[in-house]
Amino acid sequence: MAAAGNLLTFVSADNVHIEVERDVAERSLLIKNMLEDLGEATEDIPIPNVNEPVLRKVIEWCRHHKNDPPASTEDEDSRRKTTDIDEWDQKFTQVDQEMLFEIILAANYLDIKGLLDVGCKTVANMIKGKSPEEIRKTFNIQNDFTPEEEDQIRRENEWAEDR
Amino acid sequence: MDLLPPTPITRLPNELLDLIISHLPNRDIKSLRSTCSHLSVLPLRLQRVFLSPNPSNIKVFRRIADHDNFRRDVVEIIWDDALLRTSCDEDYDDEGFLGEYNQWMVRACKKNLQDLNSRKSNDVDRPDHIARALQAVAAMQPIKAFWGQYALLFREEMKVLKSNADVDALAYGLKRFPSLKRITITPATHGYLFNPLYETPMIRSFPYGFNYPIPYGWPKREDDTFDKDSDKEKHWRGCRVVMRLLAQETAHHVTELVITDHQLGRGIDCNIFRDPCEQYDNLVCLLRKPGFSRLDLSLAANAIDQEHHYGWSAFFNGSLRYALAQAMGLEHVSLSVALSYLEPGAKVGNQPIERCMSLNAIFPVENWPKLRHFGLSGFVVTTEDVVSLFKRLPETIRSVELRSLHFLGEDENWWKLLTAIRDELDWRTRGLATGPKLVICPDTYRDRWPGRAIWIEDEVSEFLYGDGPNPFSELGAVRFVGVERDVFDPEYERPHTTVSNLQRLGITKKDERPLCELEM
Repeated sequence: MAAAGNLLTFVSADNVHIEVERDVAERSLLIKNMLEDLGEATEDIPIPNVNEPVLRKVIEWCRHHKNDPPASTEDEDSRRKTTDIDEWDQKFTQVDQEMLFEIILAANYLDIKGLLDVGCKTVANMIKGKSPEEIRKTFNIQNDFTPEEEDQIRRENEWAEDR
Repeated sequence: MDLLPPTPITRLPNELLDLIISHLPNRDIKSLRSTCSHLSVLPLRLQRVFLSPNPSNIKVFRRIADHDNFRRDVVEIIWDDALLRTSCDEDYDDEGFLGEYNQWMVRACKKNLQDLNSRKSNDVDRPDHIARALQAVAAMQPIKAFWGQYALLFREEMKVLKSNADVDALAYGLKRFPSLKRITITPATHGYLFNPLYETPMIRSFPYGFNYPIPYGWPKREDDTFDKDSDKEKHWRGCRVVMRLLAQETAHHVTELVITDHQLGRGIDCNIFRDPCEQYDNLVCLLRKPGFSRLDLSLAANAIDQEHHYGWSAFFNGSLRYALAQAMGLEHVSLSVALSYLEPGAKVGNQPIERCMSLNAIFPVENWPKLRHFGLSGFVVTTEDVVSLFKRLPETIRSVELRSLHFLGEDENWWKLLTAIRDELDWRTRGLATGPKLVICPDTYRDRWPGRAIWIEDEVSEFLYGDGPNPFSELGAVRFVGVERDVFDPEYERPHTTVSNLQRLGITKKDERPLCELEM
């Protein structure tokens, strides 16, 4: 169990206090940099953009990944090749879409690269290999194109390779 | 009234949508763009565009050049330098005459299917194999069915060759693509059947299962009577027009020229360095351009260049060296020579070659203080020559690639060369952090499966910088190390290992029957 001095308190957007170990919290670069600037954090840390259920999920991810090595910089090509997600993360992202996108937004706000990557890869996998109509169904998207717009997009799409 | 709530995905800011699509191929990005107006603004990956004497390629090239956003993303133009064939013999050019439906087309198309089967060999049935096999099934109809389409393509090509619409498009593109930095010219765009190297608009426009004589550009120069004076205008047309325009137009941003045969064993005629000619002058003009940073050059040589012109005169008269010396800011240089009468990697002790292509006489490395990559392929070398050149490479060098070298002398081979590199250069003391990474491709399967080769990287590093064994036997044979790759088929990649290991790894089948018999 973490020592008391190593416990921080996050306050979610809906004003819920959540205790979190410092090494877990520091998976967030935003928090890590803030703590480095402040030294000791004695007061509650407001997370104004993230509500309680999402924040708890984010903390759950950070706790599981607290010992991960720092993310390496991958080049653009190798990024595209891998949409592989490890088993624990796959289970973690089995949530409803609203929650999944909230997690992505929170990971972006809190600057948690690993979680952001997992979230984006999960969405990418939900898109992969689907037709436009299947994607619309998956994400509940309404087709609001005029025939002219649709034609324009179809023509532009023809300009690019499929790879 | 709109009853649907705004969907979460459309609430994401663009930077996050960009991150999501960075994990997707264009195929999926296209589908996503086609769902609704909000997502239709997502950018396609359009960093490279294609040109050749084909109306589809030209049309798309011009549309992108006219698009206010897409044109800014283009960094590379790829010129498909393979003209459509007019006979079964791909080097035979019947002066642009296709004629009536003919049996040569049948033979060429049958060979395509045989090659497809041969390249699949005994591999397990991967999804890409199955996709190609399905196309092959669609292709199983009388070849005459493809003739009409092929004849149309051919007529269109002839029309463009007369009008030079492709050259005009290139000139337009040079002005319209502000981020353009590289032009690649290749004879290998069409790859092999249902497996192109690049999906150009022309190739994407083919009907499903379209079987056609796969064209490869640039003649092989197997004919020793081949001479620059009898050179036909259409040979290397792409190379000529690109170099001419790059030399003439001064307002472009191109700093990288890649003329590569993609391991087909071809190149531009080395004799452009023998006698004064326009192509040489244009190349020199481009290399002089401030900031020019990358040159890949595939050259074709032959016995004629060794015997009839006093021993590789094109390589020794100083012209090639002079041209290379103009590029003072060069960071990446890669030269390959295709000697069409020699097996790649074959020893030349019993061949009528009496001298090597002295690397020190060719490469003005002192003029390249920023050089980071040095590549050499197909040259006739001695160990001493290679090592003495490497001693002169600047400290900025980070990667070296050696491919299919021909060693002069009975006792010379890869084993000896690697040992000399380890013992006579200071790379080991510099360590892998600052010493160059050496990649060796000892041999290719050029004759049987063009584009396939063994690449040895980690084991070479372990030998040069660590305590690993020499990846070659003392006789120069490659051990079971490295990886095999196919330039046309990224899915082919596998360790270079025994047949039983490949079976154990699930890469090849135990059963020797191919996926399907693709007889016509």
